[in-house]
Amino acid sequence: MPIYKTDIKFLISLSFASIKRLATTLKNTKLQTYETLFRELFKPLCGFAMKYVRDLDEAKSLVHEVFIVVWEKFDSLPADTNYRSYLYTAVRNRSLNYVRDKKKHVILEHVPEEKAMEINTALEANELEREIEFGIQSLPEKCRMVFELNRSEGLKYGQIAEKMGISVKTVEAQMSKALSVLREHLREFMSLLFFMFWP
Amino acid sequence: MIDDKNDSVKELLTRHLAGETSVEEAEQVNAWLDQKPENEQYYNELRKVFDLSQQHYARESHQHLDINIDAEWNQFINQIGKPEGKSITMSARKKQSSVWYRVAAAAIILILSGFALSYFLNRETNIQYQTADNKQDVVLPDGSHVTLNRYSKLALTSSFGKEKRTLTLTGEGFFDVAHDKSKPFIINTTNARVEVVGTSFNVRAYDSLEKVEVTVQTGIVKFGVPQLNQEVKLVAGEKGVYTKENSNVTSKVNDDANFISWNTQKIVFNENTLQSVIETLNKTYHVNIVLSADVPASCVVTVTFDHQSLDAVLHVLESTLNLKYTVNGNRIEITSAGC
Repeated sequence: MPIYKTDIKFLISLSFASIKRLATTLKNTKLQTYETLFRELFKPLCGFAMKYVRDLDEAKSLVHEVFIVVWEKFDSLPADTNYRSYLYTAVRNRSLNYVRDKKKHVILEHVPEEKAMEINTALEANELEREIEFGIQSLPEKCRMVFELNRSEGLKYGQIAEKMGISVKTVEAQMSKALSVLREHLREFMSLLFFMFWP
Repeated sequence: MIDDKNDSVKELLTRHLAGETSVEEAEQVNAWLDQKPENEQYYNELRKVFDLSQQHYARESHQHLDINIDAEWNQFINQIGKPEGKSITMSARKKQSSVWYRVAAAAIILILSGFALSYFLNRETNIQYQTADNKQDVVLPDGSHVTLNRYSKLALTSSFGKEKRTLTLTGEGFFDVAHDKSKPFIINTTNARVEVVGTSFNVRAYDSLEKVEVTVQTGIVKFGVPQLNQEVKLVAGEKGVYTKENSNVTSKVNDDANFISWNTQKIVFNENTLQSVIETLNKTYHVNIVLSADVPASCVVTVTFDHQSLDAVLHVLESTLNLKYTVNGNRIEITSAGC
């Protein structure tokens, strides 16, 4: 009964107002998708931005800006967009811009050479940590999930295959792909990697 | 160069790092490593990346960040809520365009409306907050705060706050409503309805319980069951009770100091009977404590707990009242008391 009523009412109100209503409906389901994304990634993205801007409030407002910008072009993004990777890239770019604009120049003239080396290594270690995170988060979704289950949760290949409902062969391929891509991504740090102590 | 390793070699090396190779395969890897120094270097690079990524996950730096995701999401919602109405001025301008334009537009609208209709019929456009064995703080678009107790659900539509502030609650929640006389704040539960303009109060409306209870902390609350045409006005310190069985809405002075203990984690007992202590603990910790028949009902308790675990509370009661109890999952049976 009430369904029928809605039906009639709807057909009568075929006007520009209905476009607006349709838009609202679509926006709501879209909003739900976006909310899931937001709730999953807001905090990790803040953690990532912190590695550049070093300040929680700054990181939060930066990530907010990114979520708003991405929301505005959410419709125009292809359906198969890897949103995680997209958001990480956006946050990284924005963070780099922020750091560039706010950069304070420190004169290192009077710093003893050993100290300068130390500072340099610390800076590079920080940069490396950022790059690892960025590299991992930019992997294709399935590849990242396989890699994460192995590296973060310590699952064996067989367990991963079972959990994700894929073959062990696929797990092998995805693990290998993840590792190769990450190695490629961290290429420029390779020399550093071998004489650096990791805390 | 190093990069033209084929996929099967890469997979073998990765498996070796992950400890997934057989004895024969491990020998194959060793033989491959001995072939030339570049191979070994390549392997070492992979290993380094492999280890570093594990350390990266182990640090999980964002876990410690002090971020309230509900508040952040609300901030986001508020920010995107502003720039609307652009598309409407656009469509108004198009009005002088040709007849064909209008016919085409009408056809498109017709098709889209069909889609929209099926959307309306199949899809809920509600925003929902649902808790399992946890509590959740929710900030509503109008700035009101809600703390949802365990196994509770709060649902509102996108039109919340436009004319009225209407939402639906199943379970229990503590509401701190932002004051707005022009837009009454209305909570619908399965049978009952609560209406306020700006106060703080607790609503306990689990479908599994035989009563719906509203306890007012500040301000004035209208509480009733529209179907029965019954309504009471409650002021601070009062409690409204709807008993489902005899379809009756009553109000009385609230004598339960612990009505929001589930939220505040503070429990005050002042010469309470053991029976009422157990009721409070059951509500607060979502457990099922029962009293064996032979335990004297005359035991009284005077004690205050602040952010204590159930274990700690039981230990205190155990030593002061000489209680004995057995724990069986969620069910705790008090078998004897020395008072």
